[in-house]
Amino acid sequence: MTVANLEPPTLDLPGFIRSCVERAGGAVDAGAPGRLDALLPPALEAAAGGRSWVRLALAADALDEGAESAALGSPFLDALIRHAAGRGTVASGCLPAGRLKRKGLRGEVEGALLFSNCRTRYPDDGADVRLSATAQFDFKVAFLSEERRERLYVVPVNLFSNQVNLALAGRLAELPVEADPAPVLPLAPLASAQAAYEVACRALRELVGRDAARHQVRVAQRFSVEFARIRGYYGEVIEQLERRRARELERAGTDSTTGPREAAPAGETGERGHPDRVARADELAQRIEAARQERERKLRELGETYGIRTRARLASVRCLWQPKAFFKVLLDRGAVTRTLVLAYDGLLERVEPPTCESCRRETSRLRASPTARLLCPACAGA
Amino acid sequence: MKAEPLDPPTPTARPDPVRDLRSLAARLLEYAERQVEHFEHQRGPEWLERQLAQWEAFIRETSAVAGLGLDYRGGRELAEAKRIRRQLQRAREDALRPYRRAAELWRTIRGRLAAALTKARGHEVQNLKALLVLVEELGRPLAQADRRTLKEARAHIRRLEVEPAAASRDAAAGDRGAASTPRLPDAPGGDVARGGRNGASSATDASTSGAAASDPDPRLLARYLPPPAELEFEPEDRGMLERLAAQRYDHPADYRLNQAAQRLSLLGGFEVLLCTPLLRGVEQHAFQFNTALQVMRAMRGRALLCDEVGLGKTIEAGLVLKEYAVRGLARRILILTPPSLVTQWREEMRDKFAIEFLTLDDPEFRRHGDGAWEACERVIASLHTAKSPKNRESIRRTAYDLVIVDEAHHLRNRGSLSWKFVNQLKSKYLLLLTATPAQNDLDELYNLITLLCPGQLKSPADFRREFVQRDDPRRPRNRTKLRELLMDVMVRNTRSQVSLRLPPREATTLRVGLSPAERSLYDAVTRMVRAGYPGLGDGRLQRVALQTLQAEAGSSVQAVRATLGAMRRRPVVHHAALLDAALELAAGVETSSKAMVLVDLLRRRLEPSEKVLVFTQYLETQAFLLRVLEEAGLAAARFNGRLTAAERDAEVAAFARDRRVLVSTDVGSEGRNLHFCHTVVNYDLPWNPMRIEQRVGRVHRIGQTEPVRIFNLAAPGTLEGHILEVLDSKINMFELVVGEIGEILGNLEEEREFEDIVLDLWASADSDPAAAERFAELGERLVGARRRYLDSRAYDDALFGQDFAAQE
Repeated sequence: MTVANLEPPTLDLPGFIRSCVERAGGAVDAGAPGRLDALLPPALEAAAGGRSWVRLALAADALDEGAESAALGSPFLDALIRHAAGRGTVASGCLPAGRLKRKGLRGEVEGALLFSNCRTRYPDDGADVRLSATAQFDFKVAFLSEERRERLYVVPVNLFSNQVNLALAGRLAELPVEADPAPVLPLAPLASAQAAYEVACRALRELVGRDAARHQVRVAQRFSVEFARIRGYYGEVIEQLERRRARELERAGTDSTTGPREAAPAGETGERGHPDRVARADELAQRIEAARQERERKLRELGETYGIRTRARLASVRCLWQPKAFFKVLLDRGAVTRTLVLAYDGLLERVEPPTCESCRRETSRLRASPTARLLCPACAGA
Repeated sequence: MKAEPLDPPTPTARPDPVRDLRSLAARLLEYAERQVEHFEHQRGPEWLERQLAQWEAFIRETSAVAGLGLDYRGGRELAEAKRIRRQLQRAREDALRPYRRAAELWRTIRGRLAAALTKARGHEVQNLKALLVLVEELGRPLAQADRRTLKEARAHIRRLEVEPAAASRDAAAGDRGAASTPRLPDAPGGDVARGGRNGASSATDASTSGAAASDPDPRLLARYLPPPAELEFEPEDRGMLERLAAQRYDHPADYRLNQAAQRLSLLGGFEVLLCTPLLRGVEQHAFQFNTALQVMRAMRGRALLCDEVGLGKTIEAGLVLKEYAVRGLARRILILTPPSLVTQWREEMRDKFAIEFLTLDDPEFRRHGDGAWEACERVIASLHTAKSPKNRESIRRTAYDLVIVDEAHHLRNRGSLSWKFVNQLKSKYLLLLTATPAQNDLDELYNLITLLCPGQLKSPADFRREFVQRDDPRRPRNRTKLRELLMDVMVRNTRSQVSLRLPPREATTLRVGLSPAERSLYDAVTRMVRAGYPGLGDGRLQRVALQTLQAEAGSSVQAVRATLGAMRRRPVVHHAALLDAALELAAGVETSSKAMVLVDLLRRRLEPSEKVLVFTQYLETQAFLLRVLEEAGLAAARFNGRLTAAERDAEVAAFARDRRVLVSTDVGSEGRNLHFCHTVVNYDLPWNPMRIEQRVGRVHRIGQTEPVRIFNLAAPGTLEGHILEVLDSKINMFELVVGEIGEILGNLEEEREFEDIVLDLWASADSDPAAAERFAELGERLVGARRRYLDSRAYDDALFGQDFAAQE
């Protein structure tokens, strides 16, 4: 899975503004340095307080009374970002076919996959080229603790295998995605959008979980410093109060091990010690208890402040069409014969690994069970 | 570990191996304590300290004159000096590192010993054994006699392990012994650890030892710091998935823009302030932005902001607030201020930061009844009201993201209800604002810091022991260490550091003799106010109406006539006779003495080219003045809250271009560039000194190069005349540094707003001499408040110097 930008962007802001305005039907002209003059279409007029023409200042030094700030965080840019983020949420594109093979795939399979407990046969000499697809889910994830950081996660799900396409994820950013309509080819069987979304969510959960755990290590360091400080402080305060209480009780001639209530009933204190001291000890016991409660509360609040919460939102989704070569492999296990359909990805130049029929994870090592189910080593062992 | 041998053990009356072991451990603990102190107080090589001191002195002196304006070379020298100081500080750090490590090691030993000794106050064999093992482990500095003690203790504990019954017998004997034998001096914890707490409740019990807390148990941390919560998905966009399934796609260009928008809107760390473009009319000073960044980055939103007065603590707090709000980190916000500043805070938040707050008087707040505190996300209230029994429980229950306490020196006393109340608030971020964090002694500073970060300055006793001179609670010791600790939570910018110097102000009071008709009208209005004043008269007229009426009488007959007329037209008329008399008198006033004085001032006393900003509180007075000035041939522009933005721009532009006078009400001109004018006339006087300060602030601000002249018009024997007397003659208000009047009023120890105080004084006096007497008393109180403020300021200057400026 690719993770796009981690820190605030250094994107081409004027380019973004120009594209947004022009795409919505307006026009932008470069004015004085650091400024843009924009004729806004009705859809964007609200961003400029109802005006249809606006002079935009891209930096603070370009601001004068007639120019509107278009820096990051300005109302205008915020409105523009909202406008752009509300559109183009579902798109499609075409990935190149790459070096698509139709022959000699047996060698590819034998090089990439290992079958055990079964015999493999290749009934067809060549492969069919079909149109496969990958759903690219773009998630925006917020990490909230005592601060808030956001990251974009891009999770591509192969709709043929309904698996996260890790190999594609690593290369997606550099691949050319054409906007042209997909070539007319027979369609490969594809998983539903909902099923793919669920797979993407599972993968994202795992990935964010790992990142959150890393983040937690950093947070825990800060937390432990604060924690130790607070705990130490209240520890000292309580210890000093306890010492004072013990002294009071000692002077009052009572046993400090007894609790405040049973230490010395008012009527009996004359025999056992000075009533004022017992009262003071009693008061100190209350203060000790109050300090303990306060410590607990402060530590809990600290934990709540530093505890990491993560929230994800699906920002956009894109269907990436790609021609791939599909071929059959027959697997014989005793009297049973299974047919496995494999896909060859010409872009990544590899046979896509099949999935274990038990855990539904991709695997390059398949073992046939006595009933000819194809399992990964872990599931087969279990 | 190299160490001196311990003192020989004290001979005991009867052999008791367990007691001897404890005694030995206690002495070892004392020894560890001494070692910690020894290593902590190590200094760097003498030459290094000397050089560092010299450079520090140079920087201090040069910084002090920096505000007067250093030339280029001077600036370079200062920068070079700071660079050398940094290098020297690093060299000292390197030299001291071994000592610091040794100190840390001994602290750990001290912590372990203290904890073990506390537990071993009981008679559990396991605890005694643990103590024995620990003492043996640290046994190198022990004398021969101590080794014997250890040997006997070891044998004794072994026997206890074999014969549990003996343990209980010994325990009983031990208790009896404890009663008859004096306790070991300085043994930590004493018998208190026996109060029913055992190892099972370890989480909180372990923390009774402060030293042990320096290395918290990971399990304990885990108990309070929850693991990352499961990823939450915002309600998924079904529409998106349905469109994907139906292959209904948006245009690829829209998708690309969407991607760019998503990236542009990502929030990262606090490297930059995202809120700056959203500010309105905020003069941008680097030190304020640096302060906000430092508070969020280094102090994690819990800070004491104690800039010198007039440098904009409110702006700094507003920046932090706005930034947290923009990033979605602060939704629930509570601002606590003195009563007199509630309105001002609200206006500043709305006008400069575009954030609306509710106050307790708002119908919206009241609408929620008892649940208002929970229901309203952003509230400004006076600390006094918030801590009242009616409100405090609701506020305590509410979990705030950010709490700001202005004039936080009211929290200096740890025993006060205010301190306890703020200490109990639940808030992720907390900002305390005060120009004078310490007034009487260092404990006050400690109390403020403890609200922010309990333990930052250790426990109260440790703080006093380590950082306060024994003979003088105002004087600090271990300054360097104290400074380091304070720098984690405190920012204090000073004028000399930020080169924020304004030209002087000079105030002149023009006493206006009222005509007999004007005087009669004023007296009639005063009689009416006194008759209807709640708590004094029959209370049938609303306080605010009376306040307005009296203030209008001090402004112009046009203003008061309009209000009297409106009151007469109401269905129910109170004090009709007085009202009718006042109306009749108002009708008889034909000239305005004040207006004549103003015209005379403009014509004769000021240069014909001098631009003048005339303030009045009332639109009727403004309209009247514009007429008078026009008749006098003086070109005037106007400014008030009823003008549209374009009209305001045009009027200000006209004033800058060719009008000599701008007649303005108090509304709306903040942030306008009026530097070209340096003369202000207060045609009438607001009763709230902060409002007067704001008026003057329109021209007395950064960018002003000329001395600012202020003319106040007031008639003797009027309420305004008395206010002017106490503010000008008694405390020299008009020549104070910007912001100081707020500090002085804060030291008045008064819950009422200033205008309420003066109205109470005025309405409760039955004659002018009586009123004069009461105002004289108020003047004395103000003088006292000013003195207290100046004392605090001097103390804080001496205490903090220039060391706490925001880092660039």
